[in-house]
Amino acid sequence: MRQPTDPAAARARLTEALVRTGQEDRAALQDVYRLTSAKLFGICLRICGERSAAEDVLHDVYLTIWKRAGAYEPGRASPISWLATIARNRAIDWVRARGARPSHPIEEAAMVADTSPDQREVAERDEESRRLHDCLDALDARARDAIRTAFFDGVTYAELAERKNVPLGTMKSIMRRGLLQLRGCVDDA
Amino acid sequence: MTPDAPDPDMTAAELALGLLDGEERATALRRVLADPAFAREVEEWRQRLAGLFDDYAEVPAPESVAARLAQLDSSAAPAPGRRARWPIAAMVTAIAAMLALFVVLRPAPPAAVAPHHLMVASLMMSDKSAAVPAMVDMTTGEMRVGGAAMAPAGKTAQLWMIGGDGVPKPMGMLASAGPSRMVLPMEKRRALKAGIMLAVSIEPLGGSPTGLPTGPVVASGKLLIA
Repeated sequence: MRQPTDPAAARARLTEALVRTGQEDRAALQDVYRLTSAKLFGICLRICGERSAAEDVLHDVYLTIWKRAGAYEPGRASPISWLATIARNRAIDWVRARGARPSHPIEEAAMVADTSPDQREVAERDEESRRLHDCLDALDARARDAIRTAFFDGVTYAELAERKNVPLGTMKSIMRRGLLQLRGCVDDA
Repeated sequence: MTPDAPDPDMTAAELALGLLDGEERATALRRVLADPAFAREVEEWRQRLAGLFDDYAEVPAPESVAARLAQLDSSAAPAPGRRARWPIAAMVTAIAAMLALFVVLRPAPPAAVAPHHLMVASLMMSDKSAAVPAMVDMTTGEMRVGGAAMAPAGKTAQLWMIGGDGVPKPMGMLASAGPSRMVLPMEKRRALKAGIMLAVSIEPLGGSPTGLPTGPVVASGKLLIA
């Protein structure tokens, strides 16, 4: 569901639903779910790589949100980042608890792209997100690719090196130099 | 890139991204507890990278999950009376780090630690400079508090719990440097529940002579079910 198109209005609505969830309002949790489940399911699916696991993790994510929403402080973090961080961490926990992930990501995972956002998605980016994307674009291709893969797939250095077919030490060097440059760019902008 | 130059230290970013595993991850998590500046750096990286969440594609979630959520029973009810007074980002980081540390340090497999057997709190320093994580294993009574130099020389930092009756009860002294570890006797453990306030006061060496806090409260936070 892709409603409120005005980002500020969407954020205000989600913040309000999340605060009400923190006050133990079950209907509000349903509102949070309606507003965010497609995004959070996309995250779980991308990282878990399989649909049934992603569904279980998603359920677990909303239970966590129900329990923790009272600690959400509007203004400290954007509500969707707060929620997405929970989803990403839970999905990573699931993958690591299980051990190896499927050697070939299944179709659904491949479908969950992280490239070519459409114009509307670009327009919905806030200023900080735009700056981050500009700074990523300024990195050399290998560093950019390493950081994006690490973020989207939630992989460890070892997995990343294997996927990119480079020695572990080289992978770490590419990543660390890229991150240093990224920090300089984001913080200076 | 110069092959001979050493890599910059990007541990905070690596931890925030989830790149580390095994001993490297354990070491970084211990550093989160021991070093508030490092903990802040990790949190800054989370915020710096948050814009990338925009790029995850949306996928309609299955109806089954919504149906399961609609049947939330009372056992899933959140802790009553929670009202956050600490920066949430610091708290989430601190608690996540504490839980991860706990799992890392225990020889038992993580699955053996049922989530409801862990209680956590984030003790926000009164000057809001940092949040210190605290965690109790309700099964063994083992309590850990992250390292923070709270007491000036010649004084000691004492931990208290304040329940429904509003009367602070002493829990123990915190180490003058580094993380603290103590074992709570059963009677104190029984009194712990979600919503109980933990607080740290500055006392003479050896602890408060009166059995109640006598010095300033330098950190406090509510206990939650992990």
